[in-house]
Amino acid sequence: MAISEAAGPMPFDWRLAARRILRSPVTTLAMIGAGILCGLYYPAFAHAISPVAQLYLNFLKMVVLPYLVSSVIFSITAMVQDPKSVRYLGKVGMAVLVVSFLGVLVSGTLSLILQPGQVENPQSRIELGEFINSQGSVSTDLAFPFQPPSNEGAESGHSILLDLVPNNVFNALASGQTIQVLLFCLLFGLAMGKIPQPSSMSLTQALNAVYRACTVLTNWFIWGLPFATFILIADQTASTGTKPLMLMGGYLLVMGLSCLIFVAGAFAIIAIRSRRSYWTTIKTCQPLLMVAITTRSTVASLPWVINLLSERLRFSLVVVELLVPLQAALLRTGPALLYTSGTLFIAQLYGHPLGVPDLVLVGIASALLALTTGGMGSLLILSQMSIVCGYLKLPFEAAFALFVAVDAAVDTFMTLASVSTVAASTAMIAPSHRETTQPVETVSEQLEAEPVG
Amino acid sequence: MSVTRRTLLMAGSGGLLISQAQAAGTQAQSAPKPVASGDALRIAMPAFASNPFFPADGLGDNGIDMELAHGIAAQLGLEPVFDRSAATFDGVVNLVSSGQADLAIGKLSRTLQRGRSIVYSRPYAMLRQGLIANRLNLARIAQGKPPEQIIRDFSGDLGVIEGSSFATYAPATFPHAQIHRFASWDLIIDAIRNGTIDMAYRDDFEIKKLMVDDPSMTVVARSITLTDKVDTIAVGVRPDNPHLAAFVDLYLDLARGQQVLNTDEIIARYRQGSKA
Repeated sequence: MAISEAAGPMPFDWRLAARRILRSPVTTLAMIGAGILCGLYYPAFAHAISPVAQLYLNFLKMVVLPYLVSSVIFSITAMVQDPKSVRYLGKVGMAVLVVSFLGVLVSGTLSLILQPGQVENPQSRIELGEFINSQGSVSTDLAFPFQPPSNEGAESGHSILLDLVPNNVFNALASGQTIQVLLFCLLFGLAMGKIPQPSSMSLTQALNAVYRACTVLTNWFIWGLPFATFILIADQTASTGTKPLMLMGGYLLVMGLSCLIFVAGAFAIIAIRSRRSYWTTIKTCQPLLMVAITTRSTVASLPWVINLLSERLRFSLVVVELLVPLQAALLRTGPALLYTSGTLFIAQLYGHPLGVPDLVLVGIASALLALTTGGMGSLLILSQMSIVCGYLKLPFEAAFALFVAVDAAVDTFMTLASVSTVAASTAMIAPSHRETTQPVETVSEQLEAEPVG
Repeated sequence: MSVTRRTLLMAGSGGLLISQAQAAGTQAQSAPKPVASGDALRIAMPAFASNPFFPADGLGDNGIDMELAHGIAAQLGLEPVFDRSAATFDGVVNLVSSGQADLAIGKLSRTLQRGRSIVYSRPYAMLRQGLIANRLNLARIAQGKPPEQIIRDFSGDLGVIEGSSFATYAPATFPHAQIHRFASWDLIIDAIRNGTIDMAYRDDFEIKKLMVDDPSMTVVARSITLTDKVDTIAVGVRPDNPHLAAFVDLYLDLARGQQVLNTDEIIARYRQGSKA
């Protein structure tokens, strides 16, 4: 720090450069390559350093609950209390529902059709089995008491809903029941928005401080990500070799196609709303796509989304500036795709057939969990998949390293899907330049009366 | 005078000590030993292998049960002599109940039926009962119903090893099933692969071992653990030798620290063995 301050007028330059290097896809690929080589040639060393990766994951996980509680309560309260955003609340709420539903539907359907986790080739199946059974205890496909619990039949239908609502929120917090905590935070945020601002001010400020501190913590932890990737891959390769990594091709295809469908759909909506041809829209959006690919960060892409919609496509700047950050926190297409397709992938890997109630549970849990991921790093988003897997009693730990190996690609898909969804949804809700010849307020009031598609 | 008295007293107490020691010596020679068959401890063990418990006859003496057998024999100051003539688990039990062997060690499950003819030690391993089902057959029988329910009321073809504890458990656990008895576990696995039987019944360790050995099995078969049904493994002792039975319990308590192995520990041990 002292050196860089003495060396130049911009003391943050080296940090920025280091961050760019650490976040660049080339670094990630280099670390994966180095991890594979280390695992192959120095397996003892790879095993020896593996606790460091576990430590890193614990660091990431420890931020989840404070982050979730503060960000959800704070943003919902702020939204309910802000007279400008409350006007769009219904539409944003509708957008959240539609996007969550479509995200789950698209990735779920593709996973069920393409069956990326269904390994037909006996050799691959054996490799996969070796990989899955190589760590810790071996689990059977099914484990249940032979004597049925006396009230199982009566409860099974309602248990999914019962699981979502906490009877004791402190208990839910202590035991890390993220979805229960989320539900509480959503309702608590709505309720806090309803009480007079002077009364809620101090808690809102405290929550804002917690949220910001968690963001700072997460930013610190990002520095360790490439090294954690290296250690996880090295340990994995040392245990099972490189072949299981090849199995992830099908999964990447599902994520890629889902992302493509969302980006294509988003362009169509933007093209229709801005009354441009499809091709022109794609060309206009190209810089945004490049930013999303290189930064792999929805938050970092937001200025470009605002610029694209307000400057180039001429939507109302005031509304765009309000809606884009709000929707970026709430429209979490990428994580919804990840949780749905990832869970189905693991279920297919383990040959765990899912009935309709299970699929509904995966959908609801994925959509809700995706809402909690605003501002989270990709590895943290990934580690939360264990919650959905937990609901289905699927083992997640063994497959985690597989997901880490393809995280760079998946993160890019997730960012592209999320950013384009935010852009399209904003284009859908915000009045365009032609409509802003009248004052914004009037237009938005008119829009309120229109049905939301 | 006083000196003479003291000398006499010392000589008398010394003589008493010597005579006491001599008496103890003769008592030790005539003390009842846990084993009456000379210097050998006759241990019945199945002829086949069951890794990591015991290897097949003539293939060394590695394994949990081999170590146990050698350990007990060493603590008794006897030479272990293995009788590997029995082709089934029940065959091992018969050798002990008929007095041809002192102990039965060989992943021997405790059952009430066997308890009528032999004495059991306390268990040194506790497994769960498990099933392996042909995936297609199970799906056909289930017809979309939850598999748990189908398994609880199972009425299809169930395979068990002839002369095993599971051959005893099967009629009680699955009263509606058609029970097929096979000579070996390998034959059962083949039958599961071909779909000639729908399900096989054994402990969860053997089912999990199968998954470790042949991961492709998950393609054709579905593995199941019955979490509330246990299979306890113990040493079988001649019914006419309660002293030996008590000694084996004492050995398990003191020399092995009351350790009861579970499936995960045995799997870990099995992996270790396979890697070596």
